[in-house]
Amino acid sequence: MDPALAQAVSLVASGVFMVLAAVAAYINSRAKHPGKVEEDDDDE
Amino acid sequence: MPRLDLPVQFLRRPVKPLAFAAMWTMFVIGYINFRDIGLFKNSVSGDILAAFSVAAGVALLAGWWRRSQTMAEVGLLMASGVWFARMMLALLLPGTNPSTQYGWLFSGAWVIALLGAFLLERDDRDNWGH
Repeated sequence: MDPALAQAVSLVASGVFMVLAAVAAYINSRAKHPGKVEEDDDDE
Repeated sequence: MPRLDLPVQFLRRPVKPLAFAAMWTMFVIGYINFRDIGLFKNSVSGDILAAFSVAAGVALLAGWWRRSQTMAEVGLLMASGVWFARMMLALLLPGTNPSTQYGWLFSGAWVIALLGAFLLERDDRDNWGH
């Protein structure tokens, strides 16, 4: 495979991976607390 | 579920070994790719990955310093993405050297650890006050 293409594919796949992980976390959160509004619960 | 920090403090902040290790790897990957000596070699993709790595490291550092759960989660997710990109490239361009042919396995371990840490942190946040 062409190195430039492989690098681009790797970056795009990484982006898809991160989106899927964030969606999975969001779905898990919604399943545990249906209807709850996301809050900024930082310590500071 | 236990949180991912030790029951000791450094600079009056909780010690998070996995997040510290992840931050370390992000700055190392950023440095290596900015110097064009990493898997991505001298390429625009390598520079993008380097910038993203440093951003992930800064997010983890900021999350720890500001005690920000959100920043810590963002940093862990970004760090898992950086390792995923590295794993993908190692799989697509295995090379002929055994150290590069099997390098994706190490990257895969980091992906599992950091994705798991991100999901645990998110799950832990959901448990607060419940």
